[in-house]
Amino acid sequence: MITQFRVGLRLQRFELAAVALAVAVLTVSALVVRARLDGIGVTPACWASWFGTGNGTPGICTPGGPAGPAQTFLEMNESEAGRVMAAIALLPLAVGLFLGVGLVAREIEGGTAPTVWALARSRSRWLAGRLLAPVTIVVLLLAALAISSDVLWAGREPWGPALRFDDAGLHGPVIVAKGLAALGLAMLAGAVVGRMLPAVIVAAALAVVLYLGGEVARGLWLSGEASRHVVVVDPAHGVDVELGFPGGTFFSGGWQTADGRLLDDNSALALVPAGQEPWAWMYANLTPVQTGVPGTLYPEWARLETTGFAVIAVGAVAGTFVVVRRRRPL
Amino acid sequence: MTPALEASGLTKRYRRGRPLALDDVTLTVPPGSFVALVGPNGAGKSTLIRTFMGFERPTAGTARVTGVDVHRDPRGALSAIGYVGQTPGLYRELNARDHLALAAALRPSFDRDEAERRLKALGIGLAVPAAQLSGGQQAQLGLALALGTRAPVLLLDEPLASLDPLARREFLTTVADAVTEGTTVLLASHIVGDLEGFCDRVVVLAPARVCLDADTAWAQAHHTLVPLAEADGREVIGSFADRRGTHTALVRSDEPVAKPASLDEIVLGYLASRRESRAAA
Repeated sequence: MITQFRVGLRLQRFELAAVALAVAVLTVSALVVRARLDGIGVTPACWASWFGTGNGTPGICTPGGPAGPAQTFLEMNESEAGRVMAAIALLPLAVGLFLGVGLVAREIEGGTAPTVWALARSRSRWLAGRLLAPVTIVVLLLAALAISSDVLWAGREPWGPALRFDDAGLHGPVIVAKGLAALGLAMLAGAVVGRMLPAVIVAAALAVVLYLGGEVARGLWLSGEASRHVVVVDPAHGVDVELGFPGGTFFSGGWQTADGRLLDDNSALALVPAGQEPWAWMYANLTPVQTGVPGTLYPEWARLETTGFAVIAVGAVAGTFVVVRRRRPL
Repeated sequence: MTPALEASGLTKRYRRGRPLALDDVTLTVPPGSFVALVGPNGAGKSTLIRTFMGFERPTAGTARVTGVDVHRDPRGALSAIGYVGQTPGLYRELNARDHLALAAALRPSFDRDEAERRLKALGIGLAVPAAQLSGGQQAQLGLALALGTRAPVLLLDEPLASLDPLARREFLTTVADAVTEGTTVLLASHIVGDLEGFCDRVVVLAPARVCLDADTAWAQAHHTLVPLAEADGREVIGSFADRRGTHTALVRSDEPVAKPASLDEIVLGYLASRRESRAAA
């Protein structure tokens, strides 16, 4: 295994070096941006004043006032931190794609597969050894990126709750799981197609599906959770999402019946007896509510998302083993 | 004694509607033989070797290596095989020492010392990346990887095709040395002339079917060339035009002939025979 690890490193040294460089640049960027945000030194009182919930320094700590630390922080948060987070959204997929496609496809296209498959009595054993170097490197690099992205994320909203859905999927262990899922799918595509260029195209398409799939899955989960988290609307003030669902996400408004059923406006209007003023009747007989998901549920979602990507990674790797065991080496 | 290689009714069709790549091929190779598997491009030589390797699943029939059914026990069969393909299948960026280390990691029984000794004897630098080795040296490295397995059967799928004459001779000499040590060799090639004096058995595979499977010495002793016009009453295998454009017939005789045909001529005659019978059909 050590020999195969060493050989794996040498065979993919250019890809590994490029990936390591990209991850290092992004990891350092995340830490630097966090340090720059901290360096602005916006005080809690200033944030309180900015959001109108306290008595901070007037002027430089109020929107529309002269440029001050809060303004500088928010601009840097949007531009520099936003760019780093956008790159973090793509890098794990790119890393997986870059390292995964060639693992089997290049062996087949380059004509080395018949040699090594003839030497290795078990193709599974060969593949396990071949996987060792890229998987180890991907895990180590993306773990470093995950830690630095967590550090940046924690500093982006010093006024907000510690648990929140902002930058969901862009920090923490999900980065490693996403990278491994992309690597597994790219490797599977390479094993099935057996040619580098077509495999890159297929793997890139799968990476896009993986990314969009993550977004869609989060939307579905949030919508499912939202129906279980109901906040009663104060008719005088409505519900501020930050108060009703701190760190979370507002989903929709509606009405709740006395027996606990949730209704949207149309369903509620259908209940209004003939001759009644609809809205007055609804306010009198139903409870106006809003549904959403509080930020405290983020860890639950993060666990699910990480598990989902890990399952895809394991499935794709298992699929690659099956393909490699059965396919021609040509 | 269990044959080293055995094909029984081996048939392979890659896709429905396409011609057969192997058509009911039956073949037995005794241990210790050096068999030349010859035939034109597309005759099915590589398909036959890849079927013995377990790389191709036959449409019908069975392939056995040292008595082990390749498709029932692929690992068992593969453990008895050393293989060199049409290209040596080397990693360009790895040197010979890395290749030997990798082979030893993949197959614990790999004899790394013996393979190193073989390469050193041929003057091949162990620290030189494969990409910087000549074609002949790359072929020798591929062969060292196959021989290092100490497998009793060596399957060579047209490894000579891209080598110059000197490299071909060196390669064949190494293979012949392995045969004297008891290895069974099945070498596919369409360069027949070089094999004369090395192989002890010849199998001619004309598109998809075996049309000659004979001991080389016997085949040479019982085949001769005669002008086609003088071939009446003799067992004509096939005819072809020689270098001067004269139509020559390969004839087979039950008795040893005075002027034996070369292996090249015998193969030409059988290929011509197959072509004629296909044209007639």
